[in-house]
Amino acid sequence: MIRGLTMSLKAATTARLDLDSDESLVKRAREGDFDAFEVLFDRHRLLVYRFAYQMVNKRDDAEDMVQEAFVRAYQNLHRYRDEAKFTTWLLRIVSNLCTDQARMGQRRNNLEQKEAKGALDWMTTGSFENPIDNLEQDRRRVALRKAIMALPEHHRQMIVMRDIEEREYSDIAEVLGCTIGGAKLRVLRARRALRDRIAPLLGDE
Amino acid sequence: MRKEDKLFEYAFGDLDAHEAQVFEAGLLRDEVTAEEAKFLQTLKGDLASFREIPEMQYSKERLRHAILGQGLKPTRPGFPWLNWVLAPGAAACVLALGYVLMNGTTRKDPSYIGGPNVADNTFKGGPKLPEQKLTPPTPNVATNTDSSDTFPDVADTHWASEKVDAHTGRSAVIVRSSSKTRAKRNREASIYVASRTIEAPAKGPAFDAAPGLSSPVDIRGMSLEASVAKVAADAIVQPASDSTMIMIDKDVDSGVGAPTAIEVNDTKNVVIGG
Repeated sequence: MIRGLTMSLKAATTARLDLDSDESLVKRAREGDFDAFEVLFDRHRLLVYRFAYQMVNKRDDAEDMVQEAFVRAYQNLHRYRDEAKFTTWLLRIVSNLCTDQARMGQRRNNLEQKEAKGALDWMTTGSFENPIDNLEQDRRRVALRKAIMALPEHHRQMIVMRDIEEREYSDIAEVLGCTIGGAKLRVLRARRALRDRIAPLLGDE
Repeated sequence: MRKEDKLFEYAFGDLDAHEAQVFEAGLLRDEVTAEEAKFLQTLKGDLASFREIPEMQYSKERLRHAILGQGLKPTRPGFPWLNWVLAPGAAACVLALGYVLMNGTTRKDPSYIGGPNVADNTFKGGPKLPEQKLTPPTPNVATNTDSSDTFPDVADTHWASEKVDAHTGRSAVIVRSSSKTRAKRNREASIYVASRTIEAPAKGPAFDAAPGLSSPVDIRGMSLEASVAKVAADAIVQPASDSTMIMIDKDVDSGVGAPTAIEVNDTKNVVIGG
């Protein structure tokens, strides 16, 4: 009975925390309230996971990155300033993680992706109505994924944030720590680089 | 904005409705650009299809284990204000050290400069002094000439050259001091130039006439001619061991802007002040 009472008390506390803003949760987490940090994790884990997955294109690696991002966030909560959104701060952390990982393990990732590439593609794309169109779309998607993964890491981040996750330029600018014009310019360069990479891939196949 | 940039913005939907309409109207007249726009729009559609991703299986419990299981805690901010105190202090220390090092290395001991051009090169403000004579490194000459004058460390000097203007009675004395006192003085000036008033030649040279002798003698009892000859011999034939005699040319070194000179002993070319 006591256990049940404790659990219901905890559930009530969590429900109350759910209504709090990110800033107040961060404040509580700073003071050692881990429940508050868990609420933050629940709120924003998908955002971090999506970005990480698009960057590494592998679920296990993306989940590792999510864990690392939240561990870093927890340890550095005192560095978070309220003037920026918590999500922006999280994206900045995961973006830095991606950069670090790209530096360290790019070769390893490329090899693993190459091995796993053909295994699941046929299950995840296309419809059964027009098989020829499906094949053409698959071919383009494979080429596009290959081109994205071959992009320099800073270009890939721009494509993921703007064209896949469809974030606003103002958000991107905040994550990068630059102006909106600067963010637009970086996105434009990344798109141009992607176009230049995918054109020969589509031509070859 | 370049046409290609506009094309990317149009294809990826970054233009507003009015700009997009204007651009589309232009595409009707340019087939190549229209094809490129179509390709980019397809690319955008394919990129959007990547939004579908596998479901995340990372749980809250794993995070709890990863953080609390390892005993991780939020780090404390420490004393950020301390940086604002320490940083200027450290900068001041670096500057002070740099100043001390610069003073220690850039102030070099100047070589001895002798010859007729010395006064011109070092003492531009005074009148042109036509005549020069060398005086021996003894304090007696200075004290006999004008006892009221005070020459810093004359007794320590190895070498002194004096220019005397017969008409104005003004003289300039350039003193070369011993290495020990020189190092001390180099902190203030590289060379001393002092001027003073002495008795005009008409009133007799700076020697006393010994009682009972018809010709004037110096305090050592030597005649005037002998004294002058000894002074010249001491001064010119046997310069101080740490002195370097140079002959100053009329040419000016283009790099430094100072007169060039040749060392008498080993005919090396030097630049005054270089």
